[in-house]
Amino acid sequence: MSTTGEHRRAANRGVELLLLLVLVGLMLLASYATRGGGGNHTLAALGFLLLAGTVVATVLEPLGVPHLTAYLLTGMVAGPHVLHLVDHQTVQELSPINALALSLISLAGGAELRISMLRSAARSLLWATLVQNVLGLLLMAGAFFALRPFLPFAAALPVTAVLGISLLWGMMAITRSPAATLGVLSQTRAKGPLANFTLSFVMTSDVVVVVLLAIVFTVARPLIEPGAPLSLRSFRELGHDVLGSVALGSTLGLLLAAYLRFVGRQLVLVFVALGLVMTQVLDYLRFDWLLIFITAGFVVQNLSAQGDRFLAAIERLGEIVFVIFFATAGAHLDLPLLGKLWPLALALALARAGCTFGAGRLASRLADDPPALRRWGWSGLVSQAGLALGVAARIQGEFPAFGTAFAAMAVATVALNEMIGPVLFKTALDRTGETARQAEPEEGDAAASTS
Amino acid sequence: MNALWALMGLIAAAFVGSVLVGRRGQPRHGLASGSGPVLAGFLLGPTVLGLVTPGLLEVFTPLAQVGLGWLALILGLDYGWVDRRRIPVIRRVGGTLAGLLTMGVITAATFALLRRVQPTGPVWWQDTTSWIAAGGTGAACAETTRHAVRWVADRLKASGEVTELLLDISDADDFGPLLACGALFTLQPPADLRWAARPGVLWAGQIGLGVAIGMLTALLVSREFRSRSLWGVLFGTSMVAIGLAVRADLAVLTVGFCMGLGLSAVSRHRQAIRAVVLPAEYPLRLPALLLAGARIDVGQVPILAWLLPVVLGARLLAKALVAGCAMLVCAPLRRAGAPLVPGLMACGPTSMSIGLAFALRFPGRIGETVLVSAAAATLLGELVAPLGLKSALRRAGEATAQTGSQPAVEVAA
Repeated sequence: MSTTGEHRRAANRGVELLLLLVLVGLMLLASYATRGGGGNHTLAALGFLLLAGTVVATVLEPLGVPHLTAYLLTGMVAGPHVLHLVDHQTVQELSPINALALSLISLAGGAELRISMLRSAARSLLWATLVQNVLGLLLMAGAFFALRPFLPFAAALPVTAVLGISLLWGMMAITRSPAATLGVLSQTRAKGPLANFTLSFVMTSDVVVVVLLAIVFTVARPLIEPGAPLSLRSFRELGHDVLGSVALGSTLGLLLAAYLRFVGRQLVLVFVALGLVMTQVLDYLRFDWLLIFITAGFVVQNLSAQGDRFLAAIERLGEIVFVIFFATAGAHLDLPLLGKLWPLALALALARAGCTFGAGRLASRLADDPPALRRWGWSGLVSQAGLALGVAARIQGEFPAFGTAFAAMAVATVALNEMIGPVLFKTALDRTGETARQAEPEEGDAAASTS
Repeated sequence: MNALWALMGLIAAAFVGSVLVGRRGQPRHGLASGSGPVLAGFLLGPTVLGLVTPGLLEVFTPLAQVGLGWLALILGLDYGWVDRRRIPVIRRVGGTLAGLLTMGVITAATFALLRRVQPTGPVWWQDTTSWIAAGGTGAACAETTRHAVRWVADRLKASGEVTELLLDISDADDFGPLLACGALFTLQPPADLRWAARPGVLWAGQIGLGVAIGMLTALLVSREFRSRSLWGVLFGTSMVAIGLAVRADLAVLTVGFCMGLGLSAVSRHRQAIRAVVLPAEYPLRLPALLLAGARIDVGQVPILAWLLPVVLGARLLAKALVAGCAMLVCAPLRRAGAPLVPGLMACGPTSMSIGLAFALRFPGRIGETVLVSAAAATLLGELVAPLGLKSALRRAGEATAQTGSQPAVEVAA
């Protein structure tokens, strides 16, 4: 790299930092002018998180920090616990935008899965699914059980109940983060076995998690609530969830493919309708809309000729979607809770990372994976985000007696995984040489820059 | 009506808006001033069918604010330009004066009526409620919409000096009313806002905020211009600008417009930015007009029978004055003759946006007075302006529809 280029980049970083300061200044001025009150704060917060997240990501890029982590840090610093530029209520009000972001991420996730890719990684996927999920669940349940004397809500419970809760914890621990995986891949534009394996595993694990959740609920309930009958209610819900969602997702995918084929314009409006309206309707009907959108994306990619066009349309929104989603997640992080629970959360997060590493090595050996995958295959599976919190919230709803404390511990642990995971995955992609060296110049940019 | 259905309705309206964007060189669809969605909204609203309730409209207030801010941003970005042609300074000044003159006449007439029929203060210069209502009405009814001029020019395949002059005037006359909104909003600031007693500071603050964020956007865009990240930057900065205005209860239209002006003035990528932003105008306009129409509640304006004749009469008088002055200083316009007066009566999206902004900021009597006046002016303009413009352009000898030559104006596609 030339010295002039380096100077230019350094100057750009300086300008960006200055702009960030101006933005923070404007937000503080608004807060001062309205004496901390005023009308709706959401719009300004949305814009601020988007801009500040983008600028912080660019500034931290030379240090190797993934964009997602930068977005999270931005949200944490701007959020209600540090600078208070974005308050609690605003974070709540941004949840529809999060639903929109997550629906796009799911659609993109499904559309990134190609049958050819799944076929080529089938052996690795099969072993990884088996070992990471089943062994991972049991190992993490064991770790939780071992730490029970330090867990205030579990210490006083009978052993059988703690066993049940440990299984639930193991269940929560094997969830991954499609958003974080896609976010890192979107930034690095990585191509290769590690990228393919991680993407395939994380996306398919959403289905596996739904199935395992039903099994674990069925087994854990009699352990936690003595006298409770062995109920197959969870399996009935599982049928509704999985089969219904896959059926709906396939229909939606075919409709989207037809729309792309015959209309093909204003996809942004279609995505907004899906993300803001359809998610609400599906929630009301108690369907797993994450699974529906993943299936829809998969159908568009693999059962029609519109896949690339579809992905390109989503990617155009990608820069906005990931920043808003992760910056809001950062603002949502309960830092005081993390401060209180961090030793236990750290122990559980380390245990999870260790289990993921061990299970990854074992699965790779059994599948006879290539060396890069054998060494780094586990790295993309550490991240956790919304899905884990969703499972924790469901456990909280099903078991109110200890659910709140359980969910608080889950929030603290997920926060750590959310911060560490993307760094690990990006490092692995860089080390294996799968990260694109340099983004290709965009079409039209050259023309635009001369205008 | 359920909020989800209403949201779907708005998205559908935006979709229809995007479909209605004509292709280059083809005539635009729909009505000249775009009064269709206003009427549709009015029918759905509380006055007629009552399907859209006030509570439901409240849900969409943030969306409406974003829509208004973006429309104003587009106006600011496009101010002083007709496609790729820069409007000469003298015409920009002329257009601005035309807008200010119209606004002044309508404001004076409306204020006189309000003082006579329902005064809200003992002394006329302290009657801020009437000043805001009258000033808002003046601002909302000041424009001659460029969309109607383009609509007629496209259909007649008109080109020539008169067409160009009309386009330039209609583009430039938004300047005064959009800045005036900011001034009027500061006359009744929220009590907890600092500097509430200093309207001048607040007005300058809105203009400064808009221009500063516009320049900040230009700086962010100019470093490494990438069309992919342009949307993100524009979306982020506009959200900050609109959001700060909403938080302080200031005029989103003024801030958005000034942001567009600042961005346009500083950025060397103006044309590229414009190409990205302009296609969003139609998809935003339709839902905004629909919402504005749905917000109309004539029951809130007890002096309707007096208000409409006064406002529309004042607007006619003002446009006659504008036409007369324009003909005095600009010889080619004399060829257009008397039909120019009804031709200048066209108003639409900007008027309704101002009306909606006032209805959101001053719900009740003030807001409804402005919104109802804007809607009435839009409907009257829809009836008389296309005929007037067609006649004026034919008299000027610039209507060449029969010869099939290319239109002077490119339709934003």
